[in-house]
Amino acid sequence: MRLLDVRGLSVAFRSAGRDLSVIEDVSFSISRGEVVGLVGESGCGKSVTAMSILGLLPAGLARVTGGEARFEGADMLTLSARELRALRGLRIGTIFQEPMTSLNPTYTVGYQLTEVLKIHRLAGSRRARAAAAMDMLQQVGVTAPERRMGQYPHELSGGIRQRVMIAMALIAQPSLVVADEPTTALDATIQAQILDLLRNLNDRIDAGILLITHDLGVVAEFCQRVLVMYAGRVVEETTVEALFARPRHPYSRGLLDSTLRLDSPRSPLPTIAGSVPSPGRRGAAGCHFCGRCARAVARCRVDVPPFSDVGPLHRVACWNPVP
Amino acid sequence: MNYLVEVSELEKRFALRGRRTEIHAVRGISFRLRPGETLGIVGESGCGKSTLARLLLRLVEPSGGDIWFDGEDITRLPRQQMRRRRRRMQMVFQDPFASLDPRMTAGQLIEEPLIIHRIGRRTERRQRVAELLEQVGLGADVAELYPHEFSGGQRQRICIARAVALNPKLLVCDEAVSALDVSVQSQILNLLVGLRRGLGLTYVFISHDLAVVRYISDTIMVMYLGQVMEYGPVDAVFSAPRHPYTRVLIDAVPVPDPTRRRHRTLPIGDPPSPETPPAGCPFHPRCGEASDVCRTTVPVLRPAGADLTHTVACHLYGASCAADLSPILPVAERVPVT
Repeated sequence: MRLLDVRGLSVAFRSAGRDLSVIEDVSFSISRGEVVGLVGESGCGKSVTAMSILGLLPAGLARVTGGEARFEGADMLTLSARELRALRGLRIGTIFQEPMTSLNPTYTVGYQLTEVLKIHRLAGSRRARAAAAMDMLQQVGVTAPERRMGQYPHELSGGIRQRVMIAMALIAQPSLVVADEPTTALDATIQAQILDLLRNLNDRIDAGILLITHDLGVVAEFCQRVLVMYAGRVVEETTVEALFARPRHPYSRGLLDSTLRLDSPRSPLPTIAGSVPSPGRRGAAGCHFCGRCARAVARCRVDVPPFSDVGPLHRVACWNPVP
Repeated sequence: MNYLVEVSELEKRFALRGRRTEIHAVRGISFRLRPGETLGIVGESGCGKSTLARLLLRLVEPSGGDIWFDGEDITRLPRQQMRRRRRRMQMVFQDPFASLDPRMTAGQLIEEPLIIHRIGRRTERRQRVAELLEQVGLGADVAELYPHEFSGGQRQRICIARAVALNPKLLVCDEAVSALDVSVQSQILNLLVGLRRGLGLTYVFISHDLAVVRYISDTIMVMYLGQVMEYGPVDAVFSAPRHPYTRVLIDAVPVPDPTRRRHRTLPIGDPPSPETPPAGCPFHPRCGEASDVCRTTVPVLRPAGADLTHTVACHLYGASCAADLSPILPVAERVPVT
């Protein structure tokens, strides 16, 4: 049973009186207990994909132009704002890059942690809610939870804030967690702690996790399956092992090749020429990557490549995939 | 041996407005840099690496210690004279958008340092701008474009062109590739390596990204709470890290290889606030190997083995042989700064 099933999701931004397509025909699914990575460079549409599913696109500026996103049976894209609010926090936990944008600076940690329990009547008494919140803080590795409950977000370090946000995302035991660059703003040692923590907690609550990141190292260590996005489209979908062992899309290949490792040779680095085209400059026909692609053939400039299966659980949208 | 940069016992204290405490951002740092050498400085946010970079160019004033640049003590040079020295020392920052005036074209931005330092006539300057644009891989035909018409990577190329316009000897890069996407990051690193060779530049390269620093540097300095924890040749530090903090830092880097997922040793808790640093070794509250001496005594930097250029500030090493090892860097005569 799929927990989240996204089919043909398309999103457009309103710009200078016309619709600019930013997400085109994105499809994927997540099951319980599964961690799916969504990778790609900035401007490829990772966050817009997540925001559309969560119903958090800026009203009036962006709108869903097609597709569906079924979560536990209901199409998220057609739910009312009220219905969406009921899902977020309760059935879907969210973790973002910058904790200060998610935490309210005027309320204490304790208030914000217990709010969701109160709204959704998940714990009977005030005392039960506080006990649940402190337990959750303990689980995410926050020391002195009693003291933290009375503190405001500005009194906490970046690492603690991120832990508080994770505690908020998980306190209602959601079945889906959407994490958009959850560790990008953190130092490496804190990032490693937070990823360990998410992994351990997920072993317990068995949620499906959609992890958005630009960091292939994080994907390799944390995800089971990966979607590679480029300029608003998914270009490759496969298991983490297959992506790293044998990427088939030239863009995936280029990303992996240009990622520095601690044992990279000190020779000139492989690069991908140019940069990601912005939504207005993508061109209507063909593959969006063809302008930067060394493997491009005549057809790439004319027809959008459809997905084809190149192995078990491995599909790629390319007319001339890497052998 | 001539050194381009010689820093000894450098100190920086920031007073906090409205409070009695101060932040001791840089604590007694000494190092020397040969021409053509690249020093990589790593450490987590708040460790003082950016402050150290700004001290080198005297963009912030030191509270103590000496800075020698190109054979001259620049620690107390008057502003006006210091400004002239900065022709030979330039800086590239993390955010290329914040560094470029949106109302100026790429050509004007690159010409600006030449005008300020009164170099060449107008036609000569234009010629130099075209040359620089080619050198950083943008091409002379983009001179009339404004910053918003460039991508992030291209904007960083403009910043680099501006920085090398005056033929500096030293280029300080503070998280210069950190905001860039991986494919663009490798383009810029290739450019920096090419310029280093072509122009004979010396780099101080600051980044929180260990893979980037390892790639570009000859020497590594690991900082924690304003102090140097480990210092040495890049391969020695990465293949045989001595300080428990260095080990933890290297171990925390996610490995882009799913077949090598592993259990890692993580430091305990979060870094302490620089406002209330712990006594003794600054890392001891998070260190798995801390003992009593670590809680009381600040360890000094000394060689950790046969290689005298690889030094570590940790009580785990050489407490018994400390007596016969003189400090690796001669401490210049301290002159109190008034």
